[in-house]
Amino acid sequence: MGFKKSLYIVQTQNDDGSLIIKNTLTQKIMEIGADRIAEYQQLISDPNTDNRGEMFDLLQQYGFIIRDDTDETKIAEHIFYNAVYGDNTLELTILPTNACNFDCVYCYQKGTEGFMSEKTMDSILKYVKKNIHNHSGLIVSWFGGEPLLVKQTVVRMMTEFRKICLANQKPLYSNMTTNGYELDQDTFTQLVKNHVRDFQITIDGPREIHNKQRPHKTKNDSFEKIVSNLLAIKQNNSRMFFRIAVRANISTKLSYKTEDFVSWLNETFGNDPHFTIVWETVRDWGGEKIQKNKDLLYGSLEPYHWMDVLTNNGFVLNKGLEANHMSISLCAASKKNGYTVNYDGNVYKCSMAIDDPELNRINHIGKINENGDMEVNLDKMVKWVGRNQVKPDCLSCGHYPECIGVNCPLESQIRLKAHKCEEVYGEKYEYLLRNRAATQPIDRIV
Amino acid sequence: MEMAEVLDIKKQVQTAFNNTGIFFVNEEEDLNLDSLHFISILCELEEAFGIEIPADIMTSDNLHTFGDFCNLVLKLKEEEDQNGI
Repeated sequence: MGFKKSLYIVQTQNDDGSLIIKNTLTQKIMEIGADRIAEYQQLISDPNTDNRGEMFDLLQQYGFIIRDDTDETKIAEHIFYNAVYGDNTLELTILPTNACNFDCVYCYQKGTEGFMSEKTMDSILKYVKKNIHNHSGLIVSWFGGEPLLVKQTVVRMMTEFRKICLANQKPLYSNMTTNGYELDQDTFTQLVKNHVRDFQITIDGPREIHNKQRPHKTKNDSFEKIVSNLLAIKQNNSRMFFRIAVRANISTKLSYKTEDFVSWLNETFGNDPHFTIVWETVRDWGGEKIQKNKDLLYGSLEPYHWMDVLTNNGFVLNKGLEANHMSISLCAASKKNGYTVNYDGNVYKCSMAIDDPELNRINHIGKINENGDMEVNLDKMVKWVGRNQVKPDCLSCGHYPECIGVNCPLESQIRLKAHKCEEVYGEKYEYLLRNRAATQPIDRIV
Repeated sequence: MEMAEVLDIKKQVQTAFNNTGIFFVNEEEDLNLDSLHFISILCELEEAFGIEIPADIMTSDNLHTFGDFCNLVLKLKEEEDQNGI
């Protein structure tokens, strides 16, 4: 039996010259000290050498060097299809309202405001009660609109979901994307008690910039309220386990104040493991508003270099709630058991495209009726699940095992857009990889 | 802590395990919990014992077996007793 180099290795370099390598199939990360890189390169280019030592053993243990009869592509596809068709967890993204108290300049949502009725709430609870025995657990993601405009609905549903899961001996986990304005201590306590432990809350810069990009519809200072809520949570729940991903959508307006903002993030949330950072740029997420605010869009990757500064300050960086998701980063829309339920009981696959009438011919897959039965149009459903054929070159790309997992089904299967490899796996990916290496326990060979 | 109290705590931990769909044969077997089960059981233990499980548990690699979880609860309960909570 001989050995060969894994197809699925990606790498980046630290300022000190050390090399960070990651196997995207096994998800293992190692750091090779600058003085040992030549040895690494020798081993990886000639894994059948007789000159083996500790480094060879680790490289083999973590999948960087593999047996020459191993078919990694088949393993990657097995993992993917198992996640899509074999993962039996029921994943519900629930929009209890599409109304919002904010008027963000880049918001893609539109349409008349609606709120979940008691009848719809009961229908969803009946659906879960009737079907949970067929599933290995329940994951509920709260989205909107602003879900905490109807906090009683959210708390009541989570309380009931918890009862249903306990009665059926199933695990329950929940997360929420909220603007944080209504997340007072009492609401937070009720949510965490009912298994909502991950939150994504957006702060787009210092007060004056945030309040312009994410203004409250009727109040003056959304920044003040969000930050005071977060500080109260930080102070009152210091021992409890929960995670808050602070998302910053960087616009051109922040450019000359980024350093101050990063310092503020560090002073406010640094050294607290509850808080992670999602560092994004404002993008065209659809809708009409951004068309009038194109001057906010960065035309370069310049803002991403701050990710290294955040890493050096000890922050864990992530890509949003999907990175906090349990086992793999796979959009619920591409899974057979992933559904988005709107406030009116209509069922969709993608929560981002509900307001697009053109896409809804495919996205609107069914409805939960009063009896708690979900009527699903299978023809529409299957258009989202799984993935399209990939180009032959992709199979030997170092990113392939991750790429098949994170690919957005809206873009790849519905809009049939070509995958922008450089955008996803370029410089920004390397910043994230350096962050993982700095903030996770990994093996270091120096 | 009295032996009877320890046994009672273990029984309650086992109930929380079963209620979140975690079953085992041997108290020391590695449960290989996925994150869904892991978070779910921590939430239920907090509720059952009125304790707060520290945030660093989320990133720790020390909870593998039923015995590990029992030891965590016992430790947190003892800390509470010592602090007079």
